[in-house]
Amino acid sequence: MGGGSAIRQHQRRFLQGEPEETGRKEECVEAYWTVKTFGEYEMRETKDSEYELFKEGIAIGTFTEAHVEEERILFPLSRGMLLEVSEGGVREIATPEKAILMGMIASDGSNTFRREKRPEGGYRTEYSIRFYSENKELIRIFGEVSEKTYGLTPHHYARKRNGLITATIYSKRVFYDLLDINLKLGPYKFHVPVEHLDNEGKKAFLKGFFSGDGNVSVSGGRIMIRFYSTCRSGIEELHQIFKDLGFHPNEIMKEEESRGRTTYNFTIPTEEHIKFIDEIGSYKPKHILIFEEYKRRLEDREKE
Amino acid sequence: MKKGKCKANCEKCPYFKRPCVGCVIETCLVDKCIKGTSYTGITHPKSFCRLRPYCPMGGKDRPSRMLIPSLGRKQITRVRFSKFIPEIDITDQRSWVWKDGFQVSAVFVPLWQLFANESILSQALNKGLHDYLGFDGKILLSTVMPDELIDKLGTEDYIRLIENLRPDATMVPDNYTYTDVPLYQSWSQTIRLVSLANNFLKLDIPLIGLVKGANLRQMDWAVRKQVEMGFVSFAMPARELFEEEMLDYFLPLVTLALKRGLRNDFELLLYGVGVKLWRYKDISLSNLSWFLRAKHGEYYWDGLFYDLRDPVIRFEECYCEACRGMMPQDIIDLWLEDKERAVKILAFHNLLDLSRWQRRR
Ligand SMILES: [Zn+2]
Ligand SMILES: [Zn+2]
Repeated sequence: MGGGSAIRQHQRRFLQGEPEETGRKEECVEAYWTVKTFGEYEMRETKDSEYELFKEGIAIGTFTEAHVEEERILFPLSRGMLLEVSEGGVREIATPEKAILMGMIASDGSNTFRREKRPEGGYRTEYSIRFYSENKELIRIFGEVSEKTYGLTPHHYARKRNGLITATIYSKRVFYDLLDINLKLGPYKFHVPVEHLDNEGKKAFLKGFFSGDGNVSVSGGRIMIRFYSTCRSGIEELHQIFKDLGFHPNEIMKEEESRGRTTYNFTIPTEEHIKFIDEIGSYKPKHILIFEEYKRRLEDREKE
Repeated sequence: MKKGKCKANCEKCPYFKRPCVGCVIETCLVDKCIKGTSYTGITHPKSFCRLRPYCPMGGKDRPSRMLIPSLGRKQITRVRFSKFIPEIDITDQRSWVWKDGFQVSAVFVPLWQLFANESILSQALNKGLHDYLGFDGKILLSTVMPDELIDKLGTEDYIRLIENLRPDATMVPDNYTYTDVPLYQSWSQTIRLVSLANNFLKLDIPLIGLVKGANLRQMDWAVRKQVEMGFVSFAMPARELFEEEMLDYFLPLVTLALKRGLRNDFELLLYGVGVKLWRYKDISLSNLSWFLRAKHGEYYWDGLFYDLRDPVIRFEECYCEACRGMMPQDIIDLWLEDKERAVKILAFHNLLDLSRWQRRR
């Protein structure tokens, strides 16, 4: 590859090649120690407390921060992503906050753009990422995770008639970020970006999704936890990540509604309700109340 | 001036006896680093520095001088470049347009992508590229690749790969030539290019020479040597030159160098430029932009790209084989219903637009 200036090539390929003031040099000695190796990957820490990742002896990235775990190392990237290095290789995964955000948008949000005529002539394109809810707590959570992920605070609009609140982020960068992972395939269609989710990310995605579009119903001290959508492929993907997490969700059911709409749904078996509440749960206050009440009853029953 | 700012004794330089332009106009990254400005990923942090062999404090010797081998010569068949040759994404089948019944006569397959995907590589090596892709047109192998890979592959590796992948033609191995590092490096790379091109003469498929260099002297020299060996088809990776608005300066000079050796008996292709340059009528074009832009909803019209909603093209019907009378608005509507199909139609439309011989109006 490589023609033109080395700096430009690095800016394009590695988002690197930024100038740093490093002081006039009288000497220059290599100094580092190896923190960890995974197969052909080696992580070094330099004297200046920076981390460098090498593959087969060739430098592939430099980072100012790293989290070393038993099985893997995580390097924070921008846009709420982490570079995960393990025996399995290297991949980009979402932070739990970003996974929640993605789950919320997949269930009750949108990622769109619109071109508008300017009154003074010409056009402008408006890129927007929205989350809809009548629940103030969910709108607050959405704001929190978009701050953490993209550093952006959503704008809010409340509709007087039905109390529906829309939280909107206006950003071309965020629009393309979510477009590239195919999160929303259409108005009611979504995709679970499993290739960017570790187990923690899968749980966070499910929690975000369930807070928006999840369903808990109570009858006679028993509860039913249900996921449903018109998007068949999306429901199948949710079903699969439950299995990845060691759940045994019931089979997916197809339902023809009276208005000719077809929905797909599955439920969590009773034996795994506690596992669901502890590992996934919900941000929706109504769900939280039901879950707390359910756990209290179970504990009471055990005491009897 | 006897010594460069990098303290190299230029009078003893095996390649040339003048300090490089980096010293004169103060763009050399070694010089900049010594004075206190380093660049992340290139000269910073210290253990990362790729220019140690060129730095007086680097503690590493310059690589030894590259020797110019005695060059062979043979009659090389022309590849016969069409106006536009799409590059495909081997990991994304939506770019394999022939699978949807669209006709395309030749494609470029980037070799580096195979290295990034072990399972694809092993399947392609087993079956050959034609069978792996299910494509019976011409497959041209692109060797343009990241520098780390360039350093790792030798002639034998390339030959073994090519014998198994069985493309219909291949570029000679790529090199890297930067304008802001000591010229010693880019001359070493330029000689390496010619030397590997020479080794490629033993392959019995059409070969594509490369037009590369950190300056005109290097480009001219590389072209001259490849012409001497019998090369008639050339590709010029031109993305950087185009973006830095230097292409209009270099291209006439490159054409002149080719004409000097071959009169009109050669063909030239610009590789990696994302728009059609109508002013260079006889030069072919190859890129992946037709597909990348389609994925982002961008539409080519007369070789330039537009947002699908751009009023300039939004309601213009297109009668190409992909659109069959649809206008961009129809593609937008289809996008909401069936995104995959919309991307495929848009991609093939883009490919056809870039292949046109004449402007639409
Ligand atoms: Zn120099
Ligand atoms: Zn068309």
